Amino acid sequence: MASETQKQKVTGFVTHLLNNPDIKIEPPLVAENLIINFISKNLNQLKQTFKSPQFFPDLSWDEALQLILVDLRERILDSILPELIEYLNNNINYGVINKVSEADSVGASFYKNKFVEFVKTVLTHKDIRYNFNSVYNIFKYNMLEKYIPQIFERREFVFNELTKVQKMNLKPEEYIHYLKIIMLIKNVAYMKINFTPKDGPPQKASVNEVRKSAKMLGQFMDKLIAEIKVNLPSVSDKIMKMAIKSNVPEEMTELEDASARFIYIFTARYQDYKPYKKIDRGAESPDKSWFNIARKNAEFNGYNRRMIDELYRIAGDNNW
Amino acid sequence: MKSKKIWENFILVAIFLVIVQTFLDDYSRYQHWSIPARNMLLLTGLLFDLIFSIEFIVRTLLANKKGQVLRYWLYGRGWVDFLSSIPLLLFNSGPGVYLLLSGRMEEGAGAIATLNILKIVKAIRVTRILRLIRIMKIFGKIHNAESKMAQRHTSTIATTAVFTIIIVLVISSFFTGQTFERALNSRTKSYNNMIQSIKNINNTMEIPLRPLMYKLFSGDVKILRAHYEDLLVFSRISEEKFNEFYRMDDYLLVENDSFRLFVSVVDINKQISAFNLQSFFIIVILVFTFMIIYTKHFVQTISDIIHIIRRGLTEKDYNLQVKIREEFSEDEIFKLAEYYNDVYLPEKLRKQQEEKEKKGTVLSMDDLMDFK
Repeated sequence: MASETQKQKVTGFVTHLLNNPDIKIEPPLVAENLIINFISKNLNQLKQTFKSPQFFPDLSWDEALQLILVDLRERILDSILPELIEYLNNNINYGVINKVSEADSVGASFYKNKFVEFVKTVLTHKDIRYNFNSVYNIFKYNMLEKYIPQIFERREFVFNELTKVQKMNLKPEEYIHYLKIIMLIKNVAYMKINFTPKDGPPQKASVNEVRKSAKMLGQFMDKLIAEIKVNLPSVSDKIMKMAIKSNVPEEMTELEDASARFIYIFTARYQDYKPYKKIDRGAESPDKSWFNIARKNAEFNGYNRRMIDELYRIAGDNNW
Repeated sequence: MKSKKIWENFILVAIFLVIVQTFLDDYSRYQHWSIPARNMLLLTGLLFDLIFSIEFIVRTLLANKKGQVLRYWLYGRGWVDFLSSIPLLLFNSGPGVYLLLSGRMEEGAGAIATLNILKIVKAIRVTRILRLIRIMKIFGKIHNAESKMAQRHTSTIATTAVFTIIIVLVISSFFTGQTFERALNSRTKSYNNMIQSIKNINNTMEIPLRPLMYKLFSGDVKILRAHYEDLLVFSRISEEKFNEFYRMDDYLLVENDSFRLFVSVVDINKQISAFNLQSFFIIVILVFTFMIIYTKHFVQTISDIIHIIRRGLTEKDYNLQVKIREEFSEDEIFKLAEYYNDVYLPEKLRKQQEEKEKKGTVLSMDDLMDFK
């Protein structure tokens, strides 16, 4: 059992890492991921280093590592959770789930409570936390509130995909809430689950390991949905599948998975998003620049080219 | 460093004030302000010339200390500093103040002094145009764009244009100066003829001189005062007004036997001032046009683009594209920007993504060394 002094030293160590100039400039969820990656890449060296008097000579390696990771996680969650929970309570209309599900109607407040608890639970997983940065940014900077009304006003490709191809008749504001709900579920796919493919040995996999095989992805989805259902009963499989598919490239989606293709692009845009303090004169706006670069890399990254084109035009017309 | 900044700001203020002084100097002649007001402007001109001469000498000495005199003269606008200081002190404000002082001593100095003063007057007429060179100093002091390249290019092109205009003005002033000189000589000659005519009428028709002089002079607005045998015969304005508004260069003194006429040349001075003011405004407007319009054009089509590309090349998180203006899209710089937008940045982001997946962190073991 670690003493208070040892815990304080661990806290000081985490503070030291968080105050590193290259870490400090990153948002909390990304900063944590960089630190965790650093630790996992340097395990052997750290094991030796931690034994020195300067670090944690009185703690076993496992103990020290555990204390560091817990301290880091708690600090990161403390820095984002209060704001995020407030957002989940006040800025999402969960009633839209009933509108898109064939299941029996459940009260919006039921969904709200379930989703708040769900988010709190899933954010204890480090991989989910890191990928949640895009969702956090989209919520924080009201990105859906900016783009969806524009998409509905233009009634071009993305509008057709979201409404006609996907056969979903929602008002723009309902669409915003629908997409937010998908985004809340989306990152669960980065959690590694025990999963046994029909023609393979059992393995622990996340969406990263199955994204290249449609067959594997399908089996992974079924297993994951069953696990999510424990926390989110009454949320339809359709919504869950859309959420999981929003983590895979275009070629792995079905025609009617338009929301997944849209969220795949949108979350990629805001995963590493950092608002520019000042846009240089003569430079394109940040979103326009990003979408234009994404057009060139569309195939490489698995983005839907026509969706990217339209988002590029929207960003350009609005100087975003 | 701080004292250098104070000195730079002082010079900047002095440049603005000297531009105002240059305008007022000619405007005061054009409007025929009182002598004290014009003399004050003459003295402030001398003060500014002294300040700029000191600045030039100090800059040259400092450059010499670093062995960079040639660099200062050629690329640091040393030649502008020189032309806008010492020649003006020697040929403009210096003689002007000398003239002012000599004017006061006129009665005792005699004919030789008067002749020398008139030569100086001629010299001043030419060199006054040189005062406009000072406007070029503004380029070294005002940083109207963040880009050093934009500042330098704007200043080079504007300096070339302004200097060309000044050269043309200086050359043409030799001709216009001669025209004015001829006008003065012709006026002297015509009033000598008038005096001769008066003498002839007096001799042949035996009309008394004083009533005759009074009758003829009162009809000519240029004649300010007339003396005959040291007695005042005619005066258009009171002694007090004459002393307040007429300086040596505002009138001609035509002397013939016992006649002394004070003939106004304010109309000729007005023409010279109007020409100088016109030149002044052409140059000032040209300078500000370059500073505002050309700098903006240069920045938008050259330096901003380079700035964005440089940031994209050197900064990890800077991925903004260059805005390509359709009307200039065929320019080499925008072709380069197109390559940066369409090839370099997508490749950079792809590489970063791969590296992120491979490396996954920005920390190294060295970052732990200073932990206590």
